[in-house]
Amino acid sequence: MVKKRLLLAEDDELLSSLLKFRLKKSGYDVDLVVNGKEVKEYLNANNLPDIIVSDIMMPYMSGIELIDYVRNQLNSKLPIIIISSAGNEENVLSAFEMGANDFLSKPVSPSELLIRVARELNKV
Amino acid sequence: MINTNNIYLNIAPNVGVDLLWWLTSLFAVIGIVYILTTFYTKSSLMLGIKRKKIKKRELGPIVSEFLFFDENTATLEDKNTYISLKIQIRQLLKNKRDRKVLAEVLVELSQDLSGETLRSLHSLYKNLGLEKDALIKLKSWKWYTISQGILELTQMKVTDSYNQITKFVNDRRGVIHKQSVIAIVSLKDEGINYFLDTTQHKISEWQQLKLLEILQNKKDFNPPRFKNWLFSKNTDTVLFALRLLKYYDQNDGNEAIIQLIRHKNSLIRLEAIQCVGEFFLVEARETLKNVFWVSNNDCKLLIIEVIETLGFKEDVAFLKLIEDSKQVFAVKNKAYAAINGLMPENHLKLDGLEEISSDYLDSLINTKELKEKEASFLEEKISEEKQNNNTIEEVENIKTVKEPEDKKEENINLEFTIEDIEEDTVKEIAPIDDEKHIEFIKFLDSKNEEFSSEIYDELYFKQDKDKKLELLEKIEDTGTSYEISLLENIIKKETNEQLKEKAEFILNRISKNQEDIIEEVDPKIIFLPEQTVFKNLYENCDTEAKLILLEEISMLGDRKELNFVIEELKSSEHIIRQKAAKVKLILEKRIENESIEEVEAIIENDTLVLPKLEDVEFNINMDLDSTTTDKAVEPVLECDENKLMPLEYCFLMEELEIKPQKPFSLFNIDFELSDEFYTDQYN
Repeated sequence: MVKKRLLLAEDDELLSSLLKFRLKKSGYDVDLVVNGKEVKEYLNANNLPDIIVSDIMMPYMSGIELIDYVRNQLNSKLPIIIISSAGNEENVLSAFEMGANDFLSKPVSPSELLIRVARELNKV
Repeated sequence: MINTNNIYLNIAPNVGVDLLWWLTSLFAVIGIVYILTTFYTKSSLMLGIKRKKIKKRELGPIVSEFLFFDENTATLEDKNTYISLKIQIRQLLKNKRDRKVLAEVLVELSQDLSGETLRSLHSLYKNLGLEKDALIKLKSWKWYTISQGILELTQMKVTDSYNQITKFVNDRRGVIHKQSVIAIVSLKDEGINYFLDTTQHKISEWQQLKLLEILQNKKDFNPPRFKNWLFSKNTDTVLFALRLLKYYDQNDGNEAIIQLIRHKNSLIRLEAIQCVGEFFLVEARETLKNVFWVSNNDCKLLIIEVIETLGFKEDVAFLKLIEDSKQVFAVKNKAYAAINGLMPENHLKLDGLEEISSDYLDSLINTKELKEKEASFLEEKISEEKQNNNTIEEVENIKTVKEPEDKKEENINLEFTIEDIEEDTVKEIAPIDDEKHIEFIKFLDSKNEEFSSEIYDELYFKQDKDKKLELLEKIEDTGTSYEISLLENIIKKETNEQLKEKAEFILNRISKNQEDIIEEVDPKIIFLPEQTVFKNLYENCDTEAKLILLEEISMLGDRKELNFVIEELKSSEHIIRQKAAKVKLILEKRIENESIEEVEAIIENDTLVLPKLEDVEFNINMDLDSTTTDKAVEPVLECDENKLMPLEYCFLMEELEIKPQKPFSLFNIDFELSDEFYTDQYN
């Protein structure tokens, strides 16, 4: 069975490594990037992943800018799940307006993330 | 000329060059040492951070492995990896620095994780024995180390550390006692009790909010009875307890709250007053009133607001007292608003209202009474008629009370009864639900004139001269034939000559107009649809209203409305067409009955005794769906040739130009020549 490719964009190394570990364990092929610049490079250099999980606050490029880039520059409808810290509702709304498919608020439950990822991939 | 150089040399102190060189060298060395130290410190710090970062990067996957290891689902390879990692981590734990980094990793992760993973993280922290380091930190003399230790233990939910942390609740160092309060409230449910019992420090607004947030996030939290702290020595505790009491809706501390209204601390007083409003403590009204006069403006405003909330009209007097007393505008305004809230009618000025004389009211009441009498009389009359099984001429008698006696006698020969009309004509042609209503309307039409004049008689003769004159002027402007009898009565009974003359003048005028109208109205005149009063109303109606209007036309309409109704047979709406067809037949029937000549002709020609309608077999088939013109509404009557048709249906057939089928017989040859014959002859 072909593994689904997942791009995880998270600047917190500890959290990202933990989430990567959990996602990998669940059968996803996870690529990790830590800032917006790396996200752009990754998307331009590689084929688009099946799903993107991105933190809303990242260096160089925010999660909202990432959605804008994917939707308008790459003209892709690939599912994007946003991770935002609690009390950041305005950014979440902006993310949805730009075309985010789902969102998770910090503190994150890895089990919940898995369910959301699976659900978004099943929709496609 | 004076040589200044010599002067300065003489004054300047004698400093050895060697000393200068020595000092220069010293400062240079200090500078270099400072630069080197700074560089070294910075480098070592950077190195430490870098090492920590590397260590964290190393520890991240190990921690993940421990967190997500599931013995049941793990493969053999996973189990081997797990065991090797366990050995590796044991080695790490021997090193104090690595232990510190590992603790930091776990604390950091605990901030970003939730759910089952967080619980696993807490377990891992305890299993690795890292809480021992945190507890050691609590013994440090450095405030930031203690604070770090408390934070770590709180974040990792080490409930065993609760007792050690409680010691810091009243610590003189602000950061520590605040940190410890948060820790004990977070760690155990009874932490809030301990804190409220023992705290001696000020509890800031921020701290109160933070503690409330912690309590809100506690699962299955059973809040203590906060009334127990309403008489605490610490005013902040009292204030916080009042707020918690309000938040958790604990209304068992009413007496204490009422007492706290008198508290010298204005904040407590304000909070207690708010609680009075929140818990609707009506028994606190008197205390509030007493406290009002010694309170500040904020308290006064709140007291008024609460009194208004409690909503006792008896308190209006107190509020009026405030309004009349020397208070600031805001307080007076609030009192005014509260009075309006409690008794809106209190401030309603009646000066500008129009006065209505009792005479006018009496007349209105009399009119109403008369109308009620009229309705009950008519209903009684109808029931009597039904009981007596009256003949149609008797009904006619009731309808036209002013008809001459001889006409009544002429109608006697008609032997079909009112029931026949109801059942066989009105019911079939116009299926109006309430039979009584149909009869009532019939009588109402005829009785209108009579009763109107009775009413006006009563109204008129009760008025004074000016009013009578005014009434006569109104009759002059708008009067119709309905007012003739009134005017005649006025002429007969009125004692005032001026009014009598006026009445005579109006009567002549109306009579003349009436004659003109009678002259103008030719029964054969075709009224255009526009001539009916219903036309304008009808055009602006929806379907439902149109149906109601058509119903009204069926009750009140005459020949003026007939063409209008016929016009409606072309309506695009089926239901309207259907209704219009029914109304048309009713109107035609009414017009027919009104024609005295026709009635006379009927009487003259019809000497036969008509059978009851039940005996006649007939069907009326109306194909209304296909109706586009009035001609399309053609009832096809199938009569039994051996029986005579009822008079009503003869009229109906005549009206609709339907010729009954004649049975073919050799002896009944029709010698009438056709139109074609005559045309050919003349041509």
